[in-house]
Amino acid sequence: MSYTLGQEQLDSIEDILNQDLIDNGVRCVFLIDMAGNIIANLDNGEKQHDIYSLAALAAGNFGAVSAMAKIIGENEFSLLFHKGKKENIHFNKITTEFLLITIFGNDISLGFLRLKVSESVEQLKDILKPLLSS
Amino acid sequence: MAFVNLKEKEIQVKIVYYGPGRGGKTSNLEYIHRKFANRINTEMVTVKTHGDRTLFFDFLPFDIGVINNFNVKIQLYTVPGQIKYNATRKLVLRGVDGIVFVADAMVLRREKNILSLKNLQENLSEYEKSIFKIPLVMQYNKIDLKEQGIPLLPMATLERDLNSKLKKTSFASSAVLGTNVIETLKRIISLTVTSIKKDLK
Amino acid sequence: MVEPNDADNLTPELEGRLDDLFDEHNASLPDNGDRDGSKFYPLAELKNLILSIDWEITDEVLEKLLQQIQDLNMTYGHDKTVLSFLQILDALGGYIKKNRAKAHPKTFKTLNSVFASLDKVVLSKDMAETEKKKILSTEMNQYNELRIQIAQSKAEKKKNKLKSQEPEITAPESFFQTPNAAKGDFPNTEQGLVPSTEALAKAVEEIKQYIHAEIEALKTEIKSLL
Repeated sequence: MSYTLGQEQLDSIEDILNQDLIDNGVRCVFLIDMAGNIIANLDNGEKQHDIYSLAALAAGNFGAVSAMAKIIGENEFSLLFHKGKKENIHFNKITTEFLLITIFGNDISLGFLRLKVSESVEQLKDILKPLLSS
Repeated sequence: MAFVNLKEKEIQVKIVYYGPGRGGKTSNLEYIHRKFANRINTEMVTVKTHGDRTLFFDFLPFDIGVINNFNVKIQLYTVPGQIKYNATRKLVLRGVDGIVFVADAMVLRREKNILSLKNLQENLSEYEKSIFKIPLVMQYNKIDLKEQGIPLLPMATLERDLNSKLKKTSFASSAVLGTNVIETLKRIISLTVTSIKKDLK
Repeated sequence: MVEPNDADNLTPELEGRLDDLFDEHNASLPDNGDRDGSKFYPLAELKNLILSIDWEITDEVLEKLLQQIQDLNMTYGHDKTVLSFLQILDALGGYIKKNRAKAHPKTFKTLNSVFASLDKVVLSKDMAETEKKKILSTEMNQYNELRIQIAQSKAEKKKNKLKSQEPEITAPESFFQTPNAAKGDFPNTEQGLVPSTEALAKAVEEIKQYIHAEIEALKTEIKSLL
């Protein structure tokens, strides 16, 4: 089983992520599927991370945490966020198949980031949902 | 689930090395990484315990270049083999496109091989995938131990135990020495990419 | 006569009863500031709300924040400096509430900074009035800088869009009001006007004049104390 995204869809995705997140100070954002494949990856040009490893680990991490939620009787956790001294990382599910991961510094408040991510997710859902019906 | 990116003209493929604990899954990836470090040019991610056993997964991504106008990116994963890590194995199997089953040829491990294969079948079915249909290559590992006088299962026994119904391609291998490691890899990539292409048509 | 046994039973019950009676969580009246300052922390609830906003911005938290500020306005009715701090927090809170995700990213940093300064001023019993006003002045500058940045980024966005489909971002009236500033002079986005460079420059000048006036007032106050 496989799925495909065309140029237009990927361009739209990148536009959304740029406008909502990168332009608002987010350092790096990547959209992946739950298998760890990278669909889109944008950064503000400052630092380049090993995104392939990050994507694999992020998918694994999210999956592990979701499994833990079920064990303790939760359907899912509403916040998965790791705080560092300088860099922080936030995970957000988009439908059941995709993950939006943002890396940001301390100049952006988590609360504000969560608002922006929610906005992006709503727009990305429209592009990604049709893929799931196949 | 393979991901086809029409913008970048790229296909991302996930291959998982599965099998009982201490069977040689991580050693396969380590060999590939060591041998082809200069060509692959990527780092291998490992999440291990202090005892050097895979805790979460090992991960090795690499490009195999352009095939039919598409750049094919392979992502190799291993799973932790110990029985207690079943939840983790399920996670790693998510979206898998091809599997290498690394069986341990030691006589002592006969039952573990069978249990692990059953476990694979069950975990796949949770994702509505069939072990019969998914691209899969069998590897009977640790043949190098014969020279050290350690009793190994005959190939015929291994085939009967694990491959009589599946009827997949199999290789006798030694992950530490590299015997048939690359052959296994080539075969599984070939099977997987072919299968994906069929899917796309 | 009270037997020793009775006393033993009486104390926990009494204490329990007193705890219930004076349970601060159920208090509906605002803090009246008459309590012993060394143990009672008047900004506790405000701090909680500001920290909550850091984690998650919801209508509920913002409502509570604005309400808490109103309550504190009553508590600190006698203290002009604290009232000014609260006024800034109120404006920022209202702005966030109206604009949510469209708020300027620096708003939150400013919010935290203003609160931190207010906290410092309230907790330092021995701080001189001049020192407090100095801290207030710093925060006012930051706040005004933010307002300018917001006005500028809105102007830029308008320039970039040929046809604006977006609903006009509005700020509550209080956000754009500075004491002594003439209403008509400050760019008011609620009327849909694009702030021109001259208007911005005028606004900056007005802010400068305001700060200057405040400092003069401070000087006069100091002189009167000597």
